[in-house]
Amino acid sequence: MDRPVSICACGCICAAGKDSRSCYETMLNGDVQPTFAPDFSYDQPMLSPVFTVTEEWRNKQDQNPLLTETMQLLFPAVDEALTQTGLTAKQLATFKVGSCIGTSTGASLNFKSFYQEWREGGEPALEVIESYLHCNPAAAVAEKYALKGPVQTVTNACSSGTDAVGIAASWIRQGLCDLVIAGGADALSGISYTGFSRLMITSPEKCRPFDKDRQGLNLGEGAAVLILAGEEAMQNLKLGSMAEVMGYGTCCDAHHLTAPHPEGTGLKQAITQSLERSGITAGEIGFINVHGTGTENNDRIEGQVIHELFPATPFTGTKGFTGHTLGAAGAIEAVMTVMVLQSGQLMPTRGFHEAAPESQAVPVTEKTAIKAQYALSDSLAFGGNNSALVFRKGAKCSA
Amino acid sequence: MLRLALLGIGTALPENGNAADTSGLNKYFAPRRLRRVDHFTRMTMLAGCRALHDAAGAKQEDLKTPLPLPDETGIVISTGYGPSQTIFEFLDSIIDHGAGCASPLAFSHSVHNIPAATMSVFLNNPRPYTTLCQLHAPLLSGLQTAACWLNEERVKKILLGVVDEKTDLLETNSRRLQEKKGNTAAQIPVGEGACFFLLGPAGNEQDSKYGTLAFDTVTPQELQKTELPESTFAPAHSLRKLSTLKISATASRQSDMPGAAGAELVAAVQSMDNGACCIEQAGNNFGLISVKQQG
Repeated sequence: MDRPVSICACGCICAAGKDSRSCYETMLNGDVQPTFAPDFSYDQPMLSPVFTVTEEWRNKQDQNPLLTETMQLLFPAVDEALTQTGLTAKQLATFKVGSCIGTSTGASLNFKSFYQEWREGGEPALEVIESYLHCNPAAAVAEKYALKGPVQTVTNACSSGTDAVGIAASWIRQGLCDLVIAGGADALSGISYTGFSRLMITSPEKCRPFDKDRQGLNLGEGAAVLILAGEEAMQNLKLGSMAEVMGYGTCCDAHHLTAPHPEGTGLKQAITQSLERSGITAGEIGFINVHGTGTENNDRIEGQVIHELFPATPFTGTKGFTGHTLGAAGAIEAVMTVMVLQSGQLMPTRGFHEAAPESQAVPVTEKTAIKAQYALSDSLAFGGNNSALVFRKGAKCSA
Repeated sequence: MLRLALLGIGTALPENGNAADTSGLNKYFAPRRLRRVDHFTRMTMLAGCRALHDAAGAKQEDLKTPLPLPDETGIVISTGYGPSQTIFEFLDSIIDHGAGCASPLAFSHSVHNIPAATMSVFLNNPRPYTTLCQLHAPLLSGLQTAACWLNEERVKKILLGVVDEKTDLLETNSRRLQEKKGNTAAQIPVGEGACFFLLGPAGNEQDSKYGTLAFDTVTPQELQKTELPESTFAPAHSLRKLSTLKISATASRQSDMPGAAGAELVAAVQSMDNGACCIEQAGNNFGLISVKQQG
């Protein structure tokens, strides 16, 4: 069984809001509309809208051309979380603090203009390369906040954020560090927009997770982090626990590079591991924050598995508020799961109206009061990877 | 200090600074199955398969020879840039054919975790895997995750690989960045390759001909105080920094790649010097990885 690891703070930025509280409030009481932002489609008209952070928020940020767009999202999320802890830089320096961040586009060589100019025999300005070299997400966080613990940028596609939190919890348990800034970040990129469009899995309208008429995913952008702390650090710094990371399970399908196993074997294995490692049964999970991309394949397989393992457990999907934020998705969903555990209100699955006739998986459609001690958040990824995290309500909870 | 049993080693490294020859992979898998597998992933799979055979003391005679994959083996791949050429191939397809006709196959193969996923499919190994992409101490970071997963008994063995690929653009950029810094000294040529280590929990050494890897992160001051063995290896790109700390180390390969410490760890193991070590820079600190042989 995995020893629980305390979560003492969190931060989040995405299309749903500029911090974790506003994201959660939007999901409970509001809505978000994706937009057709032409920058992402190169020479094509945009066929699928995207969920972006607001221009107003973006304009208020320090404009640092050396930062990649992913880091422009990640740093504010880290700042929010660190502010919540009340820790000063001096206090941080006395502890061994790790940085474990999941990403996809944030570690990709996504510089099309540079590449094209070079390919045509030019010598394009090197700033974009220097920016990439200085903005590896986990390393950039470690450098900015002068952290002395382990540094890992996890690139497991769409499960990266979930995996980063799971790996970070292991670091605390194994004594590699006292605290970890763990999460995920990804900015929108024309490269991934083109790639997902060409795979024919993007939706021409707002995504509809688990709905019978779903047509695919919408891409999104964002960043989220949790600050995990070992027992000694929690006591010495007098930190309160919002929630705890319990078991983490991960398993690949070893079946196909872009499609989930038809029986969802890897996902079942990951979820089962996460429950066993938490020392709880499926019946003790109070709610699930699912991956729910709105694609035909993902929702069919994930729905089958969720219904099989958790036939009566309420579940919600939040990508109708955020879009699919790739490497950030698991981290944003982890933060929202913690906030639901804290507040006792589960957000609806925006975009869902009616289940397919063959599907028995029906997500929550309205804001729902919920009394849960444990919750599960799962992610499925390209490469057939599947990961799941169990969270337990912490002492600092109002519900 | 973390410890792991080192059970097997496999490499796919180039001779004479050229591209790594991965034709040996055709002995493990039918060329027809490999036709869509990119160079980065071929290096990954070849070095991984060689590590499995090394641990088992077996040879791949032909395609019918079963791979000696131990039960419950996880995969950890650590890389500086990931499968770069596949990303450039996707960019080529956008530039050449327009976004509306770009290759979906090139896109799906350009995702960082596809090499680990491909290896899992070819080994028929539905177990945990993870991919790390960073210039910050890729070997040490991979070892840390391997140790965590083994100590938590998520898996019984880990195939840890450090993999990097040389591309024309990487070579050009490396040269231009050095020139921009005003560095006129002869540059270390860009290299590539894959080094894999089959690892088990410490205490598993009876199965190993190599003994134990003991590793930790140390400050420059701690490294200076450490009594280092004669067989101390480090990537060529770290030698100057080590020299300013008055630390003497050897680079077995005169080429540069983010995961160069993988090849230096192989050199340390093959030196047969009990206590041989490999040093990898980790930000302002260093990863110190020592090989403690049996007996």
